[in-house]
Amino acid sequence: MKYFIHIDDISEANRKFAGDKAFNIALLKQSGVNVPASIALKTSACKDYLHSSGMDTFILRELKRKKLNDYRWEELWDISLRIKNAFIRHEMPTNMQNEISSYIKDSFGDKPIAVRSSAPGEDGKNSSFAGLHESYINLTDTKEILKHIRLVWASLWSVSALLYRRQLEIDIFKSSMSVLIQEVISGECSGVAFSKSPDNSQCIAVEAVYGLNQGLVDGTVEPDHWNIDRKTIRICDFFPASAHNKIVTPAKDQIIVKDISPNTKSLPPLNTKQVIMLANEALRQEKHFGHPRDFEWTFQDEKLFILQSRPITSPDDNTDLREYYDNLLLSFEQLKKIRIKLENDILPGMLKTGNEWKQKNIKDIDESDLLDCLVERGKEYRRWLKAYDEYCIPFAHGVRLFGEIYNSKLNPEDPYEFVDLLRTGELLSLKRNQRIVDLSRSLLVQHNDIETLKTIEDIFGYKYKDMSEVPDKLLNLIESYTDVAKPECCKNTMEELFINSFTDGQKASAEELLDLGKASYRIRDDDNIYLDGVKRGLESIIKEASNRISAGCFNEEQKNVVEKELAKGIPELHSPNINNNDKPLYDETIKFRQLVGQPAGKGIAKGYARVINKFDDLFAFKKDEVLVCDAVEPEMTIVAPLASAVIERRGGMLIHGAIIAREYGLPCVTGVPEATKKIKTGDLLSVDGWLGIITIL
Amino acid sequence: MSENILITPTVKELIDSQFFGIMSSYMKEQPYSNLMAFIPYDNYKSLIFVTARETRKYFNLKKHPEVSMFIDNHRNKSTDRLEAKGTCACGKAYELLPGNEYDEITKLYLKRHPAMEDFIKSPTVAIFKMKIDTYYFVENFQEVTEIHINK
Repeated sequence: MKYFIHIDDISEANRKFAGDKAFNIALLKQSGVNVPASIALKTSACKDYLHSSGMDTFILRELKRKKLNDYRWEELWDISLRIKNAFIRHEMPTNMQNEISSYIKDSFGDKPIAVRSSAPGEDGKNSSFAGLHESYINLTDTKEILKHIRLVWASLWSVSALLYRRQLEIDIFKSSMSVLIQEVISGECSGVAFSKSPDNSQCIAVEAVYGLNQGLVDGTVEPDHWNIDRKTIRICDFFPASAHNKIVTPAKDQIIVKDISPNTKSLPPLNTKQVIMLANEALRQEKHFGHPRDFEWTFQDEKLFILQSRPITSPDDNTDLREYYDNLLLSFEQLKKIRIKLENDILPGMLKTGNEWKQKNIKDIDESDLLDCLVERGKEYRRWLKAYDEYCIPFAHGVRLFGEIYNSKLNPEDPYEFVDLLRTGELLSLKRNQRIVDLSRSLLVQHNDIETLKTIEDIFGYKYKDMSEVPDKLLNLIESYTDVAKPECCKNTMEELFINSFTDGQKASAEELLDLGKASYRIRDDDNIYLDGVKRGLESIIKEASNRISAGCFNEEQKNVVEKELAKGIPELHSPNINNNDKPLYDETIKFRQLVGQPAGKGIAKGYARVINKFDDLFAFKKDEVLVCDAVEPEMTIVAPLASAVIERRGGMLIHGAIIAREYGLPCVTGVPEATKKIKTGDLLSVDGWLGIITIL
Repeated sequence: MSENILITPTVKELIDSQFFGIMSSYMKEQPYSNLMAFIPYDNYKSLIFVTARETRKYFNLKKHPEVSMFIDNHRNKSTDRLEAKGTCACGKAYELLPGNEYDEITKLYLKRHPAMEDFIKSPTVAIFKMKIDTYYFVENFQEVTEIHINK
């Protein structure tokens, strides 16, 4: 048993090998509390696995691509996904598998077990990783047990855990993970208790649900809540759940949510005696450990079991951060609600606003009306921008949620294979780009000037009286689309494979999830087009107001208001990292030969760089050039059909640049530090989208 | 261009941290490599190393001054692929003759490699000054930067 410590043998001396959760459970058992039969898989097992599988180098490569603080959270999510996928795919060495599975068999027989994270230092008084590392319940099959142990290890690099460690300046490369393996106690009711309520320090708080407490922990099942006076041990408040209609119970190698039986619907899960018993246990633990505690418990046949116990961390900035990072990952139910809001309210609203503003003739309105219009549009645009932040950005997580489930079911070699399943060829930006191709071709043959001018206005937002007014640079750009081929629409042959990986009872949910993933993927790009329509309306009124200021049309009072409004500018979605300093950042003796980023679009291409620092730079874009930018903004995707590859400073596998590149089958590398500074327009580049390497030839 | 920013801080840090580099000379149409104790000189525009005259490398260098010196900080661990940094310095090496910089360079060399005193003072040993054309610097496995010097 090289890799295991029995719960009875865990002490302060070997705590660092068993981890905090296992150590706390061991202390409770030694103090006479009922705990499930438990063993700890030592941190050395994780270390040996990392070394023998080469995962240590893999993780290092992922996290050392640039400075840790330079990774955006989306990039860390990508890293986390790739690491998790690698853990799923890399099995343990045979001798390790044999030792672990035979010791578990000897300890638990065929009983279902839980595998819980138990990282050293995860349950400190000043930091708590509660909810950031993973635990899995009700496993019986050996292969599943081994896989879920690997998933517990992988959660050391979950996006929330990475962000939390970075914030607390805990060395990511020195963290390790033990696994607490416990018999599953399938109690009639379960819950959590706090020796000091987070809401009222004079009270003990108890929360309870029917069945397993996973429903309570992940928010699926609403608990009943009691507050108990710490001095008198009397119940002072009882807040029943709005309904007792769900229960989480064990099923084969998983847990499921079921409807509750009608007989128990009206009753709380705990009686008064049990509530008082839990309150006393909370105080006993506080006294035993010397500080306030929270713990998970379950009642089985009237017998109380403590499943895990940890110190209550003071609600400081770190707690807020942990919760913030945990909340970045929205649940399926939360995403469904956001989708309804987006599809019924936000996106139609943005579209309507954009269209109304486009149709309004602002050239003919008087100064007073123009002023009102300017103020109103500024306010409206900022309102939509806020809605974009609140709804559009979080909804992008639908793609991520789908990807995580796809990978856990199908175990693909490429952790981004799932994206192909979400592509439907229906993105608004693709349709817009196809209109430019059509326009370009129509210009070659007989064309109707009025129609052409209207299309130019629709696509680019520029209004011209006749063709002679259209600048050559715009016409040249349009003409270069003539021989652009239509991107191939994805054939979703994987769809059936995905749906069939679920049991019959789960297939409807799987289809719902797929539909949500597709909507998230589509809206991730479309929302920019909608918001861009609103932005153009604001730009046009700003331009008109500026012209009238120059022409001296406003009185002094109006002029002041206009200038104040113009000073607010147009807030952007992203803050591009542009070097406005004329002085080169690098000495002329230094030439960057190879740059490294995230491989966000497979393929290899060679072409001359076109560095885009401002919108006007797009007009110079020539077919087969490589688009190099700080962050691909919605208007930049216009040149995607002309590009041979895409390079972006901002990192991520699911950002606009990566999405549009994937749609057009372009090699794409994102997250390249200082891309627009190290690459110059005209540099001949080789872009390797397989490895994420750019060579300046 | 300032004399102080010929090379990047990372390359400077790497060169300063290492006592030895792998020097490759040209022998009968194939590379020939040796471990050499070196020092940077003249604001990193040159590297200085010494060799006995009765050696293959001395013969090679006299015939073909084109030479490279590979300097790296790998620790022979599996993670070196990502953690190690390396630079291949390319240029031409010429034997220094007594006079001019000879004494100053000898002093600097011995400050860095005091154990080489007997060796460097032997009349059978030559000091070479390698004038660098380019440093090819690699970090993070694949990130490559070229620094062109003396051009």
